[in-house]
Amino acid sequence: MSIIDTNVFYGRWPFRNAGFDDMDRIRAVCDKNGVDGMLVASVQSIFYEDPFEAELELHRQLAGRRDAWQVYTVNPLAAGWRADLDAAVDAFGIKAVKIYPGYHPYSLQGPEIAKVCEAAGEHSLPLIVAGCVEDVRVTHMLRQAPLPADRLGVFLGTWRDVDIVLSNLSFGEIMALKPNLLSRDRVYVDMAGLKFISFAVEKLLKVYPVEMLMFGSQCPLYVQRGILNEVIMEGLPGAVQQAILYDNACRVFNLKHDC
Amino acid sequence: MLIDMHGHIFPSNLQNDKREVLETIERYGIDQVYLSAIELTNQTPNERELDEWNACQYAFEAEHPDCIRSYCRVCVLNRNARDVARRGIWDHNAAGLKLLSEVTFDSHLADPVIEEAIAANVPVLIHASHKAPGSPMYPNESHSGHIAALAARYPEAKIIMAHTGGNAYRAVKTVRPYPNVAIDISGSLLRAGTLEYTVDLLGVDRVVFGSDFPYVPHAICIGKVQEANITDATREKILAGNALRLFDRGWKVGDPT
Repeated sequence: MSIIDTNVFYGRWPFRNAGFDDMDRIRAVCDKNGVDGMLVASVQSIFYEDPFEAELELHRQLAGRRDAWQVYTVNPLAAGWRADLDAAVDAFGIKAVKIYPGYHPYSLQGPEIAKVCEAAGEHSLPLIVAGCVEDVRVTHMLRQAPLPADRLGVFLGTWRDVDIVLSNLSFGEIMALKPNLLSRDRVYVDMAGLKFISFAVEKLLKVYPVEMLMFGSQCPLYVQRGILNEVIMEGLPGAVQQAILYDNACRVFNLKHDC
Repeated sequence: MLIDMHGHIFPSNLQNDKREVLETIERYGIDQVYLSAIELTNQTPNERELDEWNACQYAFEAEHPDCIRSYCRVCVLNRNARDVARRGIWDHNAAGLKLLSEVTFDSHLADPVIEEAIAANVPVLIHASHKAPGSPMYPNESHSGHIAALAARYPEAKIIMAHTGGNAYRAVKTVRPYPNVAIDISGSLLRAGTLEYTVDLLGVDRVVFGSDFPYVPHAICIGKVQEANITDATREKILAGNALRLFDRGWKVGDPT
């Protein structure tokens, strides 16, 4: 079975050395876990004043690879982000736009994010909304703002015409958004935050359709195999595994993958 | 062989927890689990509550003696703490003692219980945390400094610091000078690279596998070991060998590993 990890990082995490800035090393982790393809976002793009510098570096790293696609990080407070995105979409083969409202100080109901949603819609790209990236219990120096469920719920209700992928949400956060998630389509969640309850996927599937879930681990910040086990070791039917590990990612991100 | 030396049941959710524990054992082929009965909403159980909780755990072990072993949960604030430990070890064959967060365990209140563990040569599993400022925590969670102080005071005690101390980068170097402290890698912190970091600094013999299941998925914790860049021999020691040695009442701190 082919597997695509929709939540992989490249770049140097500022606070510890875990091999994020070595695509060969990231590839080796994926190989060890049987992961064929990955959607890769830049760590540096979160922190750089001009994220495009990091996007350019990520593009260089991914150029020529058939196993990796670039996710473009937008900080709508950065100067010139829209023009940079417009230029990068085709030139870099961008597959999604990603935002980090926990790190960048704007409101989910503010005008900045509205412009990002409009841009993603115009380019027919899914918008990935990152929840808690670094575990708040071990935050070092740079704290993320919380992403309140009520505001996220309003955001989901506002931007119904954009494909939205919620990343790094916990089981509890996903369940808290039940009315908002079930009342619209074109919304998806990845698995990187499912670390606080046993058999989380099984439990989510009692509430949500399988088309909504996709494998994303936030490797190499997190242990990819740990998240992957929640699908492959839990006795889920083959068709369900196939949807979560591969089919949903191909459909949502418009991937043409020939593993 | 696979030993998960850190799991729980919550008496308030007993039937569900027992079902998930057994399901996890089955799905993951775990040979032996070590469980304690706790309630996160009650860090300071009184004598009656604690007797009830421990009774739940001992009964669960009795139902599945082939794969379940018990810790005796002790609350050192209770007057009968030493007696609870003694009864757990000698009457119920508890494999170790479990301390949570009723005090920070540099406190001398823990001394009688630790001495009981030394007398029986059973390990003491202590919850530990190193939470970032502003993140939620219990009032008296021990950090690695508290555990280091206890280890220095009782060098014969076999101490297991849970959850890699709550943050490997803050905890491992703190307990490194104390050979009587082992570290379990349980918990929901899923940061890649921390197991390798811990093994590099502490040595393979002082690292044991636990998950904190069913509240933390066994799936993610076993993934930490599966993915880690370590040798197969190291992996085997973490997954079983080190736990077997620590729980062996014939093995004392300082004996050959």
